[in-house]
Amino acid sequence: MIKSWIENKTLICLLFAISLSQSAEPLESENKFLIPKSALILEKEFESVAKKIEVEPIKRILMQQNGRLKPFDTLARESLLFLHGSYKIYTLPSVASYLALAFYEDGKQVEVLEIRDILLREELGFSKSKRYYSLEELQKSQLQTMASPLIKKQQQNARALDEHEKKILEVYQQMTLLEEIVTGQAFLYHLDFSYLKKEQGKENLSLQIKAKDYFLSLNKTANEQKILAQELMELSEKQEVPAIFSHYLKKVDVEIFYNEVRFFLIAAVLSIFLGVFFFTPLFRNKVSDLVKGVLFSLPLLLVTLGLGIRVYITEFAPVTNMYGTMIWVSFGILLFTFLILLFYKNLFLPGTGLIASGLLLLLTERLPLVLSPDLDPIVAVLRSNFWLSTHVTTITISYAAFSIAMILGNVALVRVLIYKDNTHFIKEYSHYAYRMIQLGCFLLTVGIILGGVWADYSWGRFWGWDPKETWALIADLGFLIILHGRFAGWVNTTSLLLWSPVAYLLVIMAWYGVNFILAAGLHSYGFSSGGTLMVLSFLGIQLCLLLAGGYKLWHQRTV
Amino acid sequence: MVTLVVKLNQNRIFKFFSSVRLAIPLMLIVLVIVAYGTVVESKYNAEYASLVVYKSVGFSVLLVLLWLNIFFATLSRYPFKKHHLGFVITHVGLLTLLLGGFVTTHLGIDGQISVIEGESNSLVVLSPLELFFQKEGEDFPRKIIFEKSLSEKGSSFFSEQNKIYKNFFSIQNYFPFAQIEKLYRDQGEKNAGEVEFAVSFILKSNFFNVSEWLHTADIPELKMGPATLKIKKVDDFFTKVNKQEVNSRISRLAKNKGLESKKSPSMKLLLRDKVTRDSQIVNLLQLKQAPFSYKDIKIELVGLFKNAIVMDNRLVESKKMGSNPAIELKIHTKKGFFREVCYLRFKGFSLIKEESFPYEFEYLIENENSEIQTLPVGHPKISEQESTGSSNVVEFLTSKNSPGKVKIRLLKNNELVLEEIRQEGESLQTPWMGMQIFIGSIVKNASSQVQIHKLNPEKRTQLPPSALKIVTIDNQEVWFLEGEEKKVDLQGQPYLFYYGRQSFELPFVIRLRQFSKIDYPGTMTPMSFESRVDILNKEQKEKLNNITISMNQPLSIDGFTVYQSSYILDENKNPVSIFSVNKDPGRWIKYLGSVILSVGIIIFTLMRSKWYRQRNQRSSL
Repeated sequence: MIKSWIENKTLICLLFAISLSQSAEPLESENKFLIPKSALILEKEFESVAKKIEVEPIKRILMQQNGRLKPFDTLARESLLFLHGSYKIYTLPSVASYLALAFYEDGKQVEVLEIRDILLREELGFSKSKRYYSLEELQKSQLQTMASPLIKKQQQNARALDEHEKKILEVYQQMTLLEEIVTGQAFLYHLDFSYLKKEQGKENLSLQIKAKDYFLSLNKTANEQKILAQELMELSEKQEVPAIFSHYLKKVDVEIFYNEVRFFLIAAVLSIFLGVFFFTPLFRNKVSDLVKGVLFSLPLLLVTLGLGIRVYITEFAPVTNMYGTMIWVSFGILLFTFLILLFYKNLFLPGTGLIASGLLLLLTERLPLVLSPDLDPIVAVLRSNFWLSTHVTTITISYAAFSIAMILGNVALVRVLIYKDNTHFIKEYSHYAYRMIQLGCFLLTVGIILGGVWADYSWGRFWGWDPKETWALIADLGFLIILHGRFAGWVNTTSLLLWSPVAYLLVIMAWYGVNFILAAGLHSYGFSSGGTLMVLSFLGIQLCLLLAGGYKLWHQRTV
Repeated sequence: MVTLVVKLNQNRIFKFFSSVRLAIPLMLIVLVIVAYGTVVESKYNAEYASLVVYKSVGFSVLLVLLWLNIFFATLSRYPFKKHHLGFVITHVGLLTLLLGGFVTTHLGIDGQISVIEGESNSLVVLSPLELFFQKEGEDFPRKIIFEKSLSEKGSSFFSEQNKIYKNFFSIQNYFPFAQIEKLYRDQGEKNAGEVEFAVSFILKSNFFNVSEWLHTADIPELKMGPATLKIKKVDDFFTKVNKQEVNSRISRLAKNKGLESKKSPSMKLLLRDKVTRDSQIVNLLQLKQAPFSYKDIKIELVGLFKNAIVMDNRLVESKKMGSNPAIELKIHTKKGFFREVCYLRFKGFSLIKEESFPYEFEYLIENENSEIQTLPVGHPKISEQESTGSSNVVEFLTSKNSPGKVKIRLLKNNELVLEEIRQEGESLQTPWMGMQIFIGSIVKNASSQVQIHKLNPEKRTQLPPSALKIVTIDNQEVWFLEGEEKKVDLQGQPYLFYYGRQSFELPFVIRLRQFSKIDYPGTMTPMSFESRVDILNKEQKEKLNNITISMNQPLSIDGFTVYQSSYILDENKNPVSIFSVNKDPGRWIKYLGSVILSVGIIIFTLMRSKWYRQRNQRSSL
């Protein structure tokens, strides 16, 4: 989209580029053409340019991107994440880095673009150990030639692309983004809402000129920057906003607050610490139940608040992608173990639940490239808040119950490997696992039925053996087999704990595998890639643990 | 009832069928099979997976077994006691749900209907296959309907139908996935008349790889993207094609006026007085030798061009291929002299600007024994062949005198780019986007043949169509590819055949006013798909006016439900909206089952809880 715009707007860009290059300070301009600046000098210069930029006055300005309005702060974070792999460049805030890339005269040479695939670095003729690259380096490389046939292929059949080809295209997209940021086009494009209209060629010239003025002030005093940013904001606020976007206007401050506070990260760290506390004798014996309950509710509250803000901004249930469901499952684990704390006064399960959900939240927050935390709008078929917030939430919260059963199973396995006598533990926690499986089966069955009713209402069939629904059924069947086996007497207290991690593998397949591995069926809006290594290592560790624990139990029995 | 169940409970077979020891293996088998189904779907596609797994007989048997198992297990609890409550309700709910599913599959209608914007349709395409035939001009359709299957079928599978229609035809073969290839074979010189040629070739580049046939009579021309491919017969590769071409064009021009040119035409100049309309013809050969005086002017022939182009404001002969005959004249008047150019094909053209100049000139080709033929004055009518000017043309020239060889000519904007002779199995590298032309076979005396190939479904693509072979009462073999419509003669009577998905006529007509894909502003991400439709009854009277059907907003009418399912948006065509249409008598059974099941699980869970047990103990104490 930006491309077609560039063609029409070459003139403005040209003017813009000229004025930018004039404005830049003539730093050692004599030597510039003789000796290329070293990476270190570039880095220092870039940093000093970025540090002069006042972030506060500009970060609230609204930008249009990916079908919604967002504060510049969010746009800069998301762009940098994709480009650089993190929200910051050399500890500089994203907004400052974003603007500095465009303002700094040698922005093309600053090494900021992260090539994540080591083999691809080599293929492009770079060193394996070097992680970040400049725009200039990539433009000189073979990337363009490698990517152009793939773009055609992608247009024809995106499914035909293999992993390696997708990686090449990703770097190519990163390069395009960097190019647009460095030339200042990206800032102008997202700033101007007139590009939201289907008809082209009606750009808001006065806004773009003001944006240029603002850009020119970036090396001036804080006050000058502030005045121009203010003027730009005022012009921006005068823009016409499509009706379905108008609700974003009042959510800017909330979103910036959400960006800065990182609720889930705090909740994750808090949960893990608190979980460890739950296991210390001092805490167990000396702290009153009320304090325990209050302490436990803190991370739960933070996660609830974070989810609440997401719902407030997006206006749909926060379970539309892997990121959302993982947070939701963490919430579920916290909620269920909190209830156990309240009703059963058990401390072991809440402690485990805290650590487990803390780790899950940490994992979710640490993988923003695989699990996209963005708040962008959802595909057409999901646009039914009633069903989204009943069907998907019910199904995914059942995963939380199964997760607790799985964790109990794994704890039992580890205990089997360490301690000789586990009868007491197994007797007590087998029951909890059984209850959790029951709860999970209940929620999952209801969730599947709700999904059937939604599918019947929107696609015209209750059940169509679509992979996502089929795998939900498979996971349900897996745990139902355990429950029936318990009834038949084939599964005893010990083996119930052993089987729950096995059946949990089916949940992982239903939850992660269908979207990331099978990638087939009607639930295509959830498809993504990445994280395979992590899931495979989980699988490997789980299988080793099962084999080792199973062997030891079998050995004990025969002896 | 009680005694019956008690008796049954003592029966070992009943015990086995009602036991959880059967339920667990059954559940496990279902689990493994459907998991396999999803893998098949991921590798191929949903349709293939449903044929392999979900619609297979084995899977249906398994589900029936599971149903019976649950049914007997529930029955075995009879007479129900209080503590059975949760169990019974849950399992009755499950039985109802499964029953509803069974009713939907066997009694429901589920199909797709596509409507083009501005048009209407009432035919729903269902999933079974049908062979439809009727005598042309009559309205008495006959249909043979059968389920699509993955295995090849012979005539024995169709024996019943073949018996019924034995006076018409018999179905011989069914291939689940097939491709019909039309190819050409050398049939020897059957007809003394024309010798037809066929060439098969493969066009290959980074972007495509297609194999096609050209036949001098059947398929003389093919359009493939920006290129046109042609096959032509020539007498000899080695005569100067250039001259021949020009001559053939001239003769064709003459033919257009209904005249056969038997003798070689002669070139002439026509002089005409604008006012009196009287004219005089001068032979150009004469004019070449000496200037010609006409009334008060003198005309001199400066140039005679076969293919004139303008270069540096002067007319020159082009060395490139093409034909644009022209003459350049020098006109001497009393005031001086000026230049004039006459084109054979552009009659209105003149260099003379002064309106007052009293004469006009025309360049013509005249046949000796006929009257003067002038082409209509005005805008030159260029034949279609010449108007494909801006495209790329590949010509395959075949000749009786060079069997097994083909001359490939590449033309761009009617100008020859490359001209080479190739044999079977050889290839030609073109200067266009790295495109290569491989010559597969060159067939003389070619006549068409149909060959059927069985295919295997390819990964992650649409399934190939199925094929059906019938042998008519006249012993003629006819192959149908799914979706094909054909005219077949049965005992001298023309019959219309159609083989493809079974269709079903709705009791109403859907007229699509408008289909719109609404994107989130500034993106290509769709926000919603909407079809605005009118529903008409069979008499074309409106029942419902301007209704919106969109994702999550279906339309219920006459027991049918119409859902927005898909769409086709093509820049050059009207949008097509695809709806799924179903009539589901099992819907309410399923919903009832769902409610019973959910209530059952809640009761079940509560009755197993500590709280309920403690309460029970307390009350029993």
